[in-house]
Amino acid sequence: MDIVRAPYKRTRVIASQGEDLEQHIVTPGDVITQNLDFMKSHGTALSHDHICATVAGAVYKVDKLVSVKGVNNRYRGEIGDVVVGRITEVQQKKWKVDAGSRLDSQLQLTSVYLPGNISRRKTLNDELMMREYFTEGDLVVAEVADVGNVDGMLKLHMRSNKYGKLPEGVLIKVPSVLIKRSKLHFHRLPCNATVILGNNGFVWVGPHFSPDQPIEPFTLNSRETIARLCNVIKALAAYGVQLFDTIILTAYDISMKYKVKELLNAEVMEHVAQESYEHSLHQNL
Amino acid sequence: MNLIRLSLAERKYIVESIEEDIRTDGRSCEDYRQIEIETRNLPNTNGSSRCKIGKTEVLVGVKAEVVDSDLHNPSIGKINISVDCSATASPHLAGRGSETMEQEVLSVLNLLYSSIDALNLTDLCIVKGESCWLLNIDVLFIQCGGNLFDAASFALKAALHSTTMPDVSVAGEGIEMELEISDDPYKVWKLNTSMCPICITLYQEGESFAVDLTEEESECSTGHIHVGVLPSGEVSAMEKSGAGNLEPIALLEMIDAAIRIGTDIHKQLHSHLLAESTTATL
Repeated sequence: MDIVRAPYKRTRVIASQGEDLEQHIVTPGDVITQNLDFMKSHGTALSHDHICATVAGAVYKVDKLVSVKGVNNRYRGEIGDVVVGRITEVQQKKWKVDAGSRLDSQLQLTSVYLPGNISRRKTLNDELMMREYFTEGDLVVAEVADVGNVDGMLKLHMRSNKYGKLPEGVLIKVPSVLIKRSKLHFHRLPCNATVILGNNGFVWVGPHFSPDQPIEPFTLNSRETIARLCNVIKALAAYGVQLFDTIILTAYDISMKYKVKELLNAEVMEHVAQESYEHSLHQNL
Repeated sequence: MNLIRLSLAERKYIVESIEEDIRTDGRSCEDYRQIEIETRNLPNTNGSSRCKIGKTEVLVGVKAEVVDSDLHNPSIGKINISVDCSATASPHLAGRGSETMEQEVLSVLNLLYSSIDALNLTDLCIVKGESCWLLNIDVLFIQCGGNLFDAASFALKAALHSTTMPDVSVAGEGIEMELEISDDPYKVWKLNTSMCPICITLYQEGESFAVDLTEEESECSTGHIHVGVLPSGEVSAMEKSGAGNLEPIALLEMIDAAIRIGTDIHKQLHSHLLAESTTATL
């Protein structure tokens, strides 16, 4: 296999949906309108008598209000979102979590289930033991409990059995816009792996696990499955395909004709992304 | 250099995966990611290249200038490598964060090109004892995604291969000597890069070792060696860095692997560069 090669020219996988939409995609500095009757909103600025875009993305108009929704924005967060994050700091009665948003999110000690009676009062002892539960660097999955209305800081909670620390596995970061919102973000896939699609664009791939139970030891097969899933997710994300469970499974099946490491080749990535995208289009129709 | 914090579980998974010879992206320990190389992308340089390995992206430009010869080595030219890292290459490298990393890469590149055979510097002499060419080589990291050393060395070799030097005619002698540098784009000569080494970095991970690590993987490594490999398969330089210790037997194994991988990459790089330079002249 050739490893040294010329740069690959990518083509678009996602078909643009008609000329109409194309016109409403702007890059920073593009003039959106010269009509000053419009009111500017997020992602726009007034410059020399016209409204310009300040981010790259799609233009939205609601009556007289224009805004640009960026494609590669930082994660904003909404109440109820499932997020995967990494503990960055242990503070008094709270942890700081990097969940890909502008500010590090907060996880209060009081909003975590601790061993013992699940809803018991947290004591000083618990506070001293905080590093035993989560320490710096740990990957956790949690739910957004509240979004700060001034600075947009997320407050997370783990008041459910499914949330908590994640075991051995791999974290992939994709733009948060690519995660399709759905009821379920924990997917126990039939290929013997679990995928957690965090709304913040952090995707965790690992083995099946249940709280308080050790995970099964890895085999070559299970490692290969995880690697394949990771590569497939990276391929889909690289071509801007929205991620949800069925498309990941479709792509996984399509990728079966390649070796796992072949999925790192640009051509193969494009092929997998293309086919799974078309496949998902057909199924929806 | 790497500041991504990984959880213990992730580290365990990565190290065990390498020990089992199936890494988190499906490669085996001696597999490289694809190396995308493109030359002559900066028109205002004598030679340039861009190398992309996974997320890592590095740009190299070579600019030649005429300088006075060195008194001690009157018959050779000079090269001067500098390494710079874009502040946006990685979030941890903003501000002064990138300085150590730049220094490390620079020392490895200098080590590779410190041997007299690496680049025939006598070719760069214009008038013995008077003037010679100085090659200013600028290495710029655009993005960092692990394995910076190898990427820089590949890009450097590619850039030198694409370098075209203008013809110089000497008129007069002594103090009245004048150099005339031709601006005819076809009256040029090329550097001989057939002996330029590349760097193969081997990282120790747990009980085994691997090449071409991603950022996350290099976070778990305890130490690494840079091996300068010549196209002939000889080792021209070696440097160890990182905190971990290496077993003598493991070290020998690592060098063997470096030679094996290095010669293969040399071969592919050479044919790729040849193909690229023929299409460029057409």
